[in-house]
Amino acid sequence: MPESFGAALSPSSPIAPNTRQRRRFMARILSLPGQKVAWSILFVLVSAAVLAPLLAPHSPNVQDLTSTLAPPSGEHLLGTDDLGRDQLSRLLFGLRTSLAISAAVTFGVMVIGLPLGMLAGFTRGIANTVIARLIDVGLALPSLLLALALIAAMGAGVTSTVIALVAGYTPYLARVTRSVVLKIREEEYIDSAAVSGVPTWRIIVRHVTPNMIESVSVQLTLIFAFTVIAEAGLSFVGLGIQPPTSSLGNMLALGSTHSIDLPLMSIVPGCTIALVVITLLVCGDGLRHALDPRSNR
Amino acid sequence: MSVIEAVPDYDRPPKVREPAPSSGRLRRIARTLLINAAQLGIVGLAATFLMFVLLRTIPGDPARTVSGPGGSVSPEQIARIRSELGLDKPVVVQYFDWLSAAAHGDLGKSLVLNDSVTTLLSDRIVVTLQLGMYALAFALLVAVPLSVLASRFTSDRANRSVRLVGTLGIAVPSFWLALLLIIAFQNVLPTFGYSSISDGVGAHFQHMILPTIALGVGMSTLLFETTRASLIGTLNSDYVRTARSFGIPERRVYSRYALRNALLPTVTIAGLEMGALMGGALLVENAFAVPGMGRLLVQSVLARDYTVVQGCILVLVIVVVSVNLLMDVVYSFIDPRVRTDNA
Repeated sequence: MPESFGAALSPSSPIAPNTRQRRRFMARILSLPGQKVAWSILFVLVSAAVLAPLLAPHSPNVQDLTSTLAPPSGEHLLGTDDLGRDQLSRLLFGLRTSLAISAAVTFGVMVIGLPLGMLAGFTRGIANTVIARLIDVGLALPSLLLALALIAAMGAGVTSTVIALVAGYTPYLARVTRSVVLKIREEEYIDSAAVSGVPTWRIIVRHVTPNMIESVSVQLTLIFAFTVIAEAGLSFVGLGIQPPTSSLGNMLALGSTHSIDLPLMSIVPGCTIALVVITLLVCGDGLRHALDPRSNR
Repeated sequence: MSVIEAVPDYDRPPKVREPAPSSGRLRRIARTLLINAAQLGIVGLAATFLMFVLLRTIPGDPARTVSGPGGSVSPEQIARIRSELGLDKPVVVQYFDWLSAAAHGDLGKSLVLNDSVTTLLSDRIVVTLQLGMYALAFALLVAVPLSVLASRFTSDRANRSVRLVGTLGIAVPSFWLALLLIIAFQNVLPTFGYSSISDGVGAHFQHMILPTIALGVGMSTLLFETTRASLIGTLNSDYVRTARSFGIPERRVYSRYALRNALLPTVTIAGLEMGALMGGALLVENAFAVPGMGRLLVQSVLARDYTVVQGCILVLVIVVVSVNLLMDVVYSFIDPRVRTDNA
């Protein structure tokens, strides 16, 4: 009977990792050198961003024109900016903005790039060619340039920053997804599922998706890290997040106007950006090592 | 017959100088390049068309940008400006009008600065290209010697240190490095502006050195990582072992055998990263107030000066696409195994 044969050949559990395997996977990541530190820092950074309204000693946008450009003190641990706003509070809220934007962009890239890449990888014919060429066009342009063009069309702001960066980074995820799917498509278990009459959508959902999810997740951590930098870059030149909303990038922009009299204003947000990016890259590295069957460390 | 002469040919280290490419190979290279050029041309056209359509969706009417702030403009005046700018025609027609004018060097007039886009761009592009080239040269000059040194160390610890350098190179964005350099060198070097090379070589390089470092460091860490890894690979290969067993001095093993092959990935990565380097240049120019394309582009986006924006984008797309093509050419001549089929 084809149905029972198909059912026997398309098991769900050996492909989709179960909870226990997942737990073992996380333990394997954490056993790699430096990974415990990196994941702890990531946890702290994300918590600080999420809890910013509770942690911030002051409101980030309240101006105190009697104490502008103040050096660090007990009242203002990181000093104040040229409008007398508390820098520590702005940093926490800026981290919140930057991480929220990067999360939104990464999510958007995933929602658009993943299906596009899968479609291009799994189908043959027109869809494959059209999407592959679209990816080429997207990759031929530097992400930042594409983002700048979109912002030119839409005007600066949170929404256009997110849309612009999604457009800039989607081709990268689509390309990776496509190449992973192209490889999985040639596996024997896909053939046997297809031969035994499993519908294509079910093959994609049950067999292709679980197998690509992990390599795609590595790519997503990279995109998240690059988005943090890209948002900071756009805000740095004044085309990203607009004041008074603070972001790591526009804090850096403000800091750059005081780089001579108050270097702390550009050092602190910059260090935060670097810390976020390093942490994400190291965590991504850990993911990749744990996923790579050749590295049995 | 001495023992040395009896060594069969296949044990000799490979001749580094290849035979002159046969006409058949040249023809195949030419064919590959033509196909690549055609593909890149199509990609470039598609990319600029995409930009063109996007810029036409600007919510604020460009005619309002021209008429300036205030808003006391009659609908008739707006309509007149629109027809002067050709905005009343279909987008596709506008695109081909713009493209054929661009082919003759006419990119229209700036809506805000009273100047033609071509004039504005021709001043700036030189500055940006200089910055890009200096940064690339800086990156190569730092990365290649360092990777030769670092290729001697292959322990796990060495690998991890190199990885850390690479991570730092990504995590320290060029525009922040620019600020750090300004803070560190504010009393030593000029930290903003630009001085043309015709106004004195010394002043020119004094102005360019900090922007070059800010832009080049990220690229150099990447090239360092790549070159070291591929150099270690080549040093472990059979033909290097053979060369060493023939008693060829280590210097020569590096310069004639290992490095030449090891630099192939470096060329590839350098080519692939040129787009990102141009993107970085846009930001670094803003940090140092260097009057290049980046500053022009950002100012035009802020001022909604869309003719300048599309001109800038066209030029940048041309630069990126031609660099890609140039890399194909370089690559097909360095690497005899170059792909010749259209895969």
